[in-house]
Amino acid sequence: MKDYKIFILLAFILASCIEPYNFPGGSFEDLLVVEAKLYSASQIQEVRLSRTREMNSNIPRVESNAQVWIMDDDVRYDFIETTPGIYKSLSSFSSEIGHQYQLHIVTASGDVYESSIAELKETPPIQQVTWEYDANPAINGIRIFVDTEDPTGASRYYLWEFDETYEIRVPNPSYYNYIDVDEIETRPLPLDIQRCWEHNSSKSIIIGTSANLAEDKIVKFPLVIKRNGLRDFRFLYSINVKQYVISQDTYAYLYNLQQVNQSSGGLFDLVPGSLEGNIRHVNGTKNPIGLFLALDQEEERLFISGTESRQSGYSVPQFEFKCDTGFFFNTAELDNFFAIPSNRFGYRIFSIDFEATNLWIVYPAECSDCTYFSQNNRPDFWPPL
Amino acid sequence: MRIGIGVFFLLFVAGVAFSQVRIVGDTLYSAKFSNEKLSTILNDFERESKYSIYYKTDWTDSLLVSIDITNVSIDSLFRGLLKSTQLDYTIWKRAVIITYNAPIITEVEFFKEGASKPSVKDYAFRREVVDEYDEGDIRRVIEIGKRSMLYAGGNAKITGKIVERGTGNALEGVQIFVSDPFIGTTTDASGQFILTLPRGNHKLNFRSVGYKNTYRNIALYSDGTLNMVLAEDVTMLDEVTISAKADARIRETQLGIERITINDMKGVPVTFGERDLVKMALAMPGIQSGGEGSAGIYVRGGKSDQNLILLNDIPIYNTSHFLGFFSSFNPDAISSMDIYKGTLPVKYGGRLSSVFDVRSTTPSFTKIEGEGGIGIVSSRMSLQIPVVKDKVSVLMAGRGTYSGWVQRRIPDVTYRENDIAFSDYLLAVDYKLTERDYFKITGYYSQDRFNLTLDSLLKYYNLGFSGAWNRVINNQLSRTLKMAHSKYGYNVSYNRVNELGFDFDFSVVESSIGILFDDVRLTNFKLMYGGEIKRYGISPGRISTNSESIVNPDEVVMESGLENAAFMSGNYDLTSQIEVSVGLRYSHYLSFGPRDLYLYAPNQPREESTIIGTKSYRNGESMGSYHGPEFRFSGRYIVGPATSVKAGYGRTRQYIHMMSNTNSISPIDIWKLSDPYILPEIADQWTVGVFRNITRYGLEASVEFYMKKIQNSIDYKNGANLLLNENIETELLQGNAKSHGAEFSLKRDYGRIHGFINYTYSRSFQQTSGKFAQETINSGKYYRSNFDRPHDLNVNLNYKFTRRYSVTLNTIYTSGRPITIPVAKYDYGNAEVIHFSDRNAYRIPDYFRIDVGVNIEGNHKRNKLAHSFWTFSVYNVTANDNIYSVFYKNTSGEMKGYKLSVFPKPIPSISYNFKF
Repeated sequence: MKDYKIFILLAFILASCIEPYNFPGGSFEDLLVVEAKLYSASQIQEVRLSRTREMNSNIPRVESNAQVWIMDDDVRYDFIETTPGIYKSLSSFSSEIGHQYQLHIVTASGDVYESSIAELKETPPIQQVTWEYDANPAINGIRIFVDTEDPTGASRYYLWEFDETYEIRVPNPSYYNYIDVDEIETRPLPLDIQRCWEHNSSKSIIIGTSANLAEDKIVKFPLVIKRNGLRDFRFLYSINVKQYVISQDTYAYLYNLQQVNQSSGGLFDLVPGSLEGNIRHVNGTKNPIGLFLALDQEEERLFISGTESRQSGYSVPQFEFKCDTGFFFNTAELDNFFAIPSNRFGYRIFSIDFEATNLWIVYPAECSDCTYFSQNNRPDFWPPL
Repeated sequence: MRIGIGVFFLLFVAGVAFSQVRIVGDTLYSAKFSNEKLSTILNDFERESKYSIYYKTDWTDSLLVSIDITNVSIDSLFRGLLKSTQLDYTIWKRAVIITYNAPIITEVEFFKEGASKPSVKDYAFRREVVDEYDEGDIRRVIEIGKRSMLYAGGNAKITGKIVERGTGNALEGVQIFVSDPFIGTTTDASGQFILTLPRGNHKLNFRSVGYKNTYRNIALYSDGTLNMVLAEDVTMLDEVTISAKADARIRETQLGIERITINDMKGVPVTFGERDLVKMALAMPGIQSGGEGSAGIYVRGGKSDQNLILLNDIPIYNTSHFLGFFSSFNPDAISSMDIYKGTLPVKYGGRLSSVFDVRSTTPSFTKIEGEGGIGIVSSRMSLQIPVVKDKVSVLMAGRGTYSGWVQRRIPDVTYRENDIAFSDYLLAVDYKLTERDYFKITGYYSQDRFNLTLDSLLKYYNLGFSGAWNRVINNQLSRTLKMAHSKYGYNVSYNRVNELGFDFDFSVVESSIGILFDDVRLTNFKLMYGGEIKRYGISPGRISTNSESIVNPDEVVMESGLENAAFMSGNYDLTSQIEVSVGLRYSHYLSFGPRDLYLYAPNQPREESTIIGTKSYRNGESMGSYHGPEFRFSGRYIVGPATSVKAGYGRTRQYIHMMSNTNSISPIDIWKLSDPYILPEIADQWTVGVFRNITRYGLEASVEFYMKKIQNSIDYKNGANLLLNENIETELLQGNAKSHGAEFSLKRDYGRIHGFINYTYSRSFQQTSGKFAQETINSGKYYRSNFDRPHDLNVNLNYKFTRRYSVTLNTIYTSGRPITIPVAKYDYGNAEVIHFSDRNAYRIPDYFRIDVGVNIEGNHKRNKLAHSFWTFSVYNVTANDNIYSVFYKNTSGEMKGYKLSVFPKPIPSISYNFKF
């Protein structure tokens, strides 16, 4: 219901009077940006620190060498910077309902920041995750939906994240591994370079609310649209949807983040603005952007097989690399070929042409070895073949 | 001391030849005496002249007089002769009567000859001296009161009523004054006035815009009545009439009043050639618009919902057509608009910042009259029809657009593709039941409709009725009963896809009754008292759908409130220079059910997550009330005949609020009543001002300073969602607002070159500091309000080549509107996000525009069937690209700035207007 206003307002724009414009005199505000989510799943927790950049700059700025820790009542969890701007907890831990958490940051420049107390809000389980193919040009692909319900009506505001995993297979898997001259080993079966798994995480902020419904119920909330032509659905695709209940404040903050990029400047557009986050600059006035959230997590996994997606109408692309021709080498030629380091890196032995000439068949690595461009660690949740 | 009784007439004639009195041409006299007996001189004079002199020799024998004057009037001769004596003289026809220490009342008929005025005003007169005026009737003297009641040194009170010649309509705002000493008053809405003057002779001036300046010589003996009929100034184009306004500005007790008559508007070219009352108001100091094509009116740092706009007592919630490009008042049907932006008269309340009192033209009671105009956007017509001569008269006025024609011709505006139409209608019936009873009934309807997109339609409308019954109970007391009903609403419908079709409706209804007494029974004290009851009903939003639509029907429950007020004020003349007006309005507000009110956890931010329950109120059950006194004071001190100093203070309370957090005031903003969560807004304003007429150049100059503080000023959370929100209180914040400013005005109403220069320097701030972060804007510091535009200059110049041709030049310069702009960007959750500055930390560039116009009047032949004039004008002649707003948009992964300008090119227009 809340979107109607936006719809109505957008309609007022006077397009032809709109011209590009550089606003004179806007001054840059250099602020710390904090992304900190503390999950109820036991894991290495993560805090990301970065800084704002000028409007015309596209170079990310990170905040390095800061001290970061989270207090769980009296227990302290320290974080160390593993990659610039990314701070990870020393050990795995989980956040728990009823505990009070506070984030502390001291930057290298001596600025002290602390969050307000964060507590977990109990999250109801996900009822189901479903999918649907829709040929409508606005969608043109598969949509994935989530349903949930909180009979107590206490949840109301939801944040979702998801992790996608899909399988990749190379068409001409390498059965032999060229190690050195006269040293060609047979790869153990089943081959570990034939199947790989790609992982993606949700990038945008996905929030929803049942606030204006009689029941605290989320029905067929579209999480993501997978347009036609993605390799994700060539074999098995899986999405793990994680659901968190957030406060109305958090919802408002994230909603505002979403809206900010949609401002159209029409006569009747909402006056934009930045919401105050829940982190405070203790020894200064430059409150950082961002939130510290403690999230109770519920998850639900959905699998879509390649057959299912194709049958629904989804169009899967051809394998993205050209793999219909290989090289045929005898052993001497093979040694010569692999003496060149770039060939060693970029080509694999598929098999031996036993029938005729006892030649080695060599393909580009992307046709024969999925680890060349992906990872072959089979996830625990992946069903056996 | 009573005079007229102890007057002695003595007839004594002596004839002594005396050659030192010379008479030239029968009227001029010369005399040269040194220590001569007075009786000798008088005898000499009587012999030489045609006059007989009557006196008692007892008085004259012992007196020795010296005189040496040449070629003077008989009056001067006697004044010279008797100046050092205790004798008085009266010249009457061919007689000179000399009395001892007592003046004579002759016939109250002025002599043509004469040279001086009585030196002491409160001394009874025996002789009148009249200035030479053109008017034939001024030599008549009107006697007021009983002659026997006349005594020196006291004051007497004149009460009366002033009506228009021909129609008999009561005239409001007529200035009645004498200039020496300077004492004056104005008539109230029922044409009544009361004026306290020293007893004696006065020349009383009556002035009102559009009416002939009229003078009457009066002999004021004691309290009495004077009713006047003022003739309309037939030479409406002429200069003189308007100078009455100049005097009014000096004498009025109140500050911060702008009076706009429809004539003032002729010289101001506006968009598409439409004369526009609201646009004219925006040119006045202290009154600002929200930007080009914005419906908002901001008065002295008050928000646009803080103006009480009344059309014949009907509150008008939306004064704009077509999103603010035009005002919803048909200029032909309106006679005047009084804007109170300082201390409000106590009879007005319920809005914080100002009152716009718009009055329709009182129809003629004698003959059919009409007026109309044809412009490029709309045409209009008004008719005045006396249904029963001198008894009942009707004003009908209508205006409408030519659907679709215009917008296809508007350059550079995409409205072209849309269907835009508006119209407004006014019907007013004036009924003089008896001499003492006057009824006025008004009906008003205005509507707008246009396609937002090809498949959605916005309609909005004002609908109102009012009735007033003015009864003159006696000369000193009149009573007005009023009722009014007004509804404002809009509808948005969307129909592209049946499944998504919906209708959204909003409406606000205000009904009121009131009673008002004007009481002048007390000397020097003009009282006004009464009361009013207003009932508000708001339907905050309803979504209705067709059967196929999957959109959920939704409705936010109706809100109801009752605002009651009792008020009283008195105008008191402390001295002839000082007048004070003291008033009190006590207002009471009740918010009542049926409604389910959400309850929020104490000591928590008010938001949906802190709702702990609901409380249901039955129909009519009180949910809570607010009340408080509103003191209003203003005072005026006349420093000289052309200068006055004024000061004022006033408090106002407001219980109905418009919710708007969009860039501009839009027709789909909703209104909200005060309830247990939304406290009433309370404003205090202090003003001082100096008013001066520089008569030598015909200029009216004024400077006013004001300071205003508002408690509980409504603010919004960033990105607040106000539409169809059941718990809108979670999006609203209340804080403090303060504003101050200086307004300079220089004006010339007549002459070959006339116009005005208005400059305002003003600031306006809001402070919103809640207990929680999300209830605090800009860290709780004062920040610029959305309409804080420090510099505001309006220059309007008119040059009249001849009576028929005139040109106007209109220049507007204002500081840019404050805006919130992006100042940085950052990555958050893998998305690039913009960081905005503090709210309103920046300004869009300043606004500047010049318009020119040419008025061509038809010839001024009296017996022409219809009088007409053409107006040609060009809006934004210099094609200044004024920026309305600046915004940023994510285009292909890059944030780019854009500007929006509404009329970046000159817009020429033409209109034809006629009157019969």
